Amino acid sequence: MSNKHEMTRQDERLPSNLRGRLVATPPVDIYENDEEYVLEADVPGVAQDRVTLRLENGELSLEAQWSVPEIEGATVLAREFRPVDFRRSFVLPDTVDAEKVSASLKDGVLTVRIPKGEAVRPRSIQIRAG
Amino acid sequence: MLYGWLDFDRPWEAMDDFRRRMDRLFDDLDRETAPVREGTWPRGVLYDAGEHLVLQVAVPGLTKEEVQISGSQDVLTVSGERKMAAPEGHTTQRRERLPVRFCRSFAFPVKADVEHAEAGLKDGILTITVPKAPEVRPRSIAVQVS
Repeated sequence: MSNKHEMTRQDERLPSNLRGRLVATPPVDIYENDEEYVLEADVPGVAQDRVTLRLENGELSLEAQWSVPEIEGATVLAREFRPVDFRRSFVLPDTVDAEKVSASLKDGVLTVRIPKGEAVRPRSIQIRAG
Repeated sequence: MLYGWLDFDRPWEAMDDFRRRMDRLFDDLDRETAPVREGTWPRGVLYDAGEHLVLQVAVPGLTKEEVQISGSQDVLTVSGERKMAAPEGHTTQRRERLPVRFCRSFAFPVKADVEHAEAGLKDGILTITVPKAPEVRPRSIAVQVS
């Protein structure tokens, strides 16, 4: 059961440089069942206290800051990635229960659970014998 | 690079390719980021910290049981598998993170003592610290005034 609501925005896919810090768009998976949406984002190098989630006007915005300490006195020999902050926002369907959004961070993966509102959850309807 | 498992039936060719790529990589130190193929996963950064070499690899979503590290005196190999599955009873609405089975080797520019390497995993960043071989460690030389 999917309402095909497009939560992500297409114009946010490229890394950019904001206030001198490199900002990237984290890759995201979105799962769904009758009760909720589950959003998982890869944000390696981000500690729990450096994640900000904001929900405003039906838009969920995620900001996560690189928090791996620099290695003292070290020089880079080869680099395939740079420290980045992650930023991305999602447009939630009207039907979600914004009050009950919850999030957790484990092993560099941020999981956000977004419960659907009571009104749109499927329910079984009792048929009474007449 | 040793990224595709298909390369494993011709290990030497893969090794040569790997060396060529690493050589090119070290030639490109001035660049912001070393050239890596699109879709390369996981990615690493190699540091020279004086007495040690430090390799950091971004492996979000993997636990320490899911990552294997092996090495010789001048190469560290990080391998494992990232399985991606929808949570129980959920359907997938959007998929940008792909399941991957990986095996990546990172070459050291100097000899290192892999026996005494230490690895830690925190917030999806794997950090491996390897002491340099004694003969290549920096040493201070006292200047005698005569």
